[in-house]
Amino acid sequence: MASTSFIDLSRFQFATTAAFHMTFPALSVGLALFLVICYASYCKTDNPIYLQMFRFWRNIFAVGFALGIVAGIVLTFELGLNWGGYSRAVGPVLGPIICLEALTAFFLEAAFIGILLYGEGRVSRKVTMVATCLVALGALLSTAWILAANSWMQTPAGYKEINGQFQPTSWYHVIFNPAFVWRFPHQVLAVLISASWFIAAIGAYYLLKHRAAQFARKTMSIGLLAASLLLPIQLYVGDSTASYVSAVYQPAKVTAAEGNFANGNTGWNVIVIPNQAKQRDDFTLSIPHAGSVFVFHNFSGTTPVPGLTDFPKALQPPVWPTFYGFKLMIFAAWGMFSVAFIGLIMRLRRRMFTERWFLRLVLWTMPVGVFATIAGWVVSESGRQPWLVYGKLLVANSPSSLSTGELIATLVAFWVVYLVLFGAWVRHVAREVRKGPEELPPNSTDTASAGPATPSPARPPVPVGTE
Amino acid sequence: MVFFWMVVLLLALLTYVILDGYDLGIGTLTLFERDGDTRRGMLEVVGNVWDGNESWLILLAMGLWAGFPDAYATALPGLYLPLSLMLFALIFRGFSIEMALQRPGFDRVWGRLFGLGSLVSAFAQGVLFGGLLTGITVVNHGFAGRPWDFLGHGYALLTGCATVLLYAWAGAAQLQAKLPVDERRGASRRVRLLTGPVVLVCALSASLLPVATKARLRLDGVDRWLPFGYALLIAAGAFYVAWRWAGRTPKQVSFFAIAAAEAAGLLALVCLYFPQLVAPSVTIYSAAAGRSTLVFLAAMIGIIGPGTVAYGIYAHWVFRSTPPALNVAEPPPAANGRSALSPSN
Repeated sequence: MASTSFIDLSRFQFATTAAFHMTFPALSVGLALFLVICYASYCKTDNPIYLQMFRFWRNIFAVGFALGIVAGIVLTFELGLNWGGYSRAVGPVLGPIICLEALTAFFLEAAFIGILLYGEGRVSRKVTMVATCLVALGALLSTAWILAANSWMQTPAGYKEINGQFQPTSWYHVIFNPAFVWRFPHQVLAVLISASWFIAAIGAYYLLKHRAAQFARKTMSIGLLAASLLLPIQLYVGDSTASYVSAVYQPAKVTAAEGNFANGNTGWNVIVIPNQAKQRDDFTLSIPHAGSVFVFHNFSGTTPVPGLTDFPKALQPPVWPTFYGFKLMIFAAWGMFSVAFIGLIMRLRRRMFTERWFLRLVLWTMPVGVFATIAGWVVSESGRQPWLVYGKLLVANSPSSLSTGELIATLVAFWVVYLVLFGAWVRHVAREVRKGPEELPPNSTDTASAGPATPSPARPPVPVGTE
Repeated sequence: MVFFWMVVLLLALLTYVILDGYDLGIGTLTLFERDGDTRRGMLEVVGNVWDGNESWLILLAMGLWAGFPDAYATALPGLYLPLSLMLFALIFRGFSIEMALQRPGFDRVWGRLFGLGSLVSAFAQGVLFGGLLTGITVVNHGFAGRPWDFLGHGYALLTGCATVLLYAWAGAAQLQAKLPVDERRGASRRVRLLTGPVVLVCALSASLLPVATKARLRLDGVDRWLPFGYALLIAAGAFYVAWRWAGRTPKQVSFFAIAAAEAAGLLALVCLYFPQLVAPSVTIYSAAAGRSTLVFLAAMIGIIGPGTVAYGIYAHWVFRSTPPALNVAEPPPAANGRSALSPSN
């Protein structure tokens, strides 16, 4: 069996590469749907502003999407590279699910992203529309399969164990395992909210800069509207996910997320300094009685929240990441909810596009949705520890036999490569945003249906949306 | 069932080598192309197809994981270093081509990185394939060798070079048909030029294989030596055709001949290695998942596979001719008879 530090390194490597990957789907799934909305509106209304929005967001979408793909390829290989024991054990159950992801989602996205990005002028509007829809469908399918596979690790079902391997007995139960049913909508909502917030923030940026007013209003309006519709649903689904999946199937996860070691606290901890070695909190700041309201929905506030000492020390999840991941997610969700609510009021009073402090608030909270999504994954994954397949396969029994040197070399390389790429991606987005939508002509080459196209001038003189 | 899934995976491997082989090859060739417009054209040829082509790599890896978990869990740790190198190179490549295509002309930094990423990916793939051929030490369902075992006393470096040359050859053959008409001549010259070196390294790799490998290579029984013989004949014929048709119409003949040679090479290896999967000790039978998994996989491929292939072909068909100049600063020359800007439907 591998040493603890070796396992921690492997774990750290997987966690950071997965978090890096997650940043991009968190935006591109929602952006893909946003592109569908833009292009559909364009097809329906013929209003060139929608084509301009489509082209602008497509440029930002393209690079993030590519990064998501390549970072995702890394994850599929890492399972076998670093976690040989795990991949041998779960291959028969999870392998086919990820195969299905490749077949139904990756090929679909890959085939039609080319048409979406470079097809204008070659194919008709209708084909572009279909291609855009299929790319979005692929992104959603991909989310579904990944959530099915990950949820099976949280609440394994429909299998039997033979010779140290999980062999499926019912595919229905494997795929629609108890956690999947709640976690899939939770994740879809999370990525849609993240993307809408990002989109709204970019709209707010142009409004603050007094640029491309028409474009900016439409962009911010759609983004914020989507967020304010989805956030209340997400608060309900998220709460159900926690109370149904975690409380029923993984009580230790909920306990770690609440940050209590001892039993009897009815309060809701806002800040704790956990001391897992001594099995107590060195410091707690909590809201009295709120714990039993939030966790058990008991409005008398008298049900105590259970503590981690109910579980053997070796089977406790780490409190630091689970607790603070959970708090970050919750506070981000509440924060966005409040801002979206204010936005709704301002919209009714017709001041949403002019009130500068509000625009600044939206702009500066741009990445909050993505943070919340990643924090949620931190909760679900670190809260599952020390299990890889909950209750069945320990992380300690799962790594490949590698030399520590190999592991450190790739870990460092991943960090360097990912930091460089992330920097380049941020620069690219910043550059596209600064360049603005004004230069993207809504009048040029969308003409395959109308006979031979004339090549567009490189810098068209018709800025739409500037006033 | 086991045999069926092995055939599916071999087809996925072959498709990957043919498709991503040419786009990695084109990437490598951008390093040696001096003309800016041609380089830009090369990027655009790859830009439409690379992620589709790499999807086959994911299907291959995940198909191996699902159908033969023991092979996946031993081959990957055994080939840790070259595989990681390949991943890093593929990351850079995928990112840099999108960055390069977002800008007009040929972007120096991202264009170079794309070429370098392609070269290193191709080399790493050759190295890890060589490592797999020479054999991986497996004890008790786990990799039990040392980190640098994959080198096989340097054999893997030879297959690495062979793969770079083979991919570049396929890339040049593809460019003959995909670049704007007036830029194709250089590509044809490269096809002819590369034939000799490719034949040389392939022959050298093949003849050194029995010495380098720990696997049990077998040619006993007519079901092994007959297809093996045919494979060698097909490969030899295909090499000749690829060379002979360079620069002639129809343009695609060279590329299809190279694809045939790759298929023949794979067939020859299957004849030698079957049923070893991670040679010498892991076979397709010892590594296979249970029946329920394999039946599910077969049903899945049967139901979804044809649709996947159909729209994959459609996506290639949309971009069958010269790429349009939407992302380029100036419009393409009007003399270009089959300009892509004419309507395609």
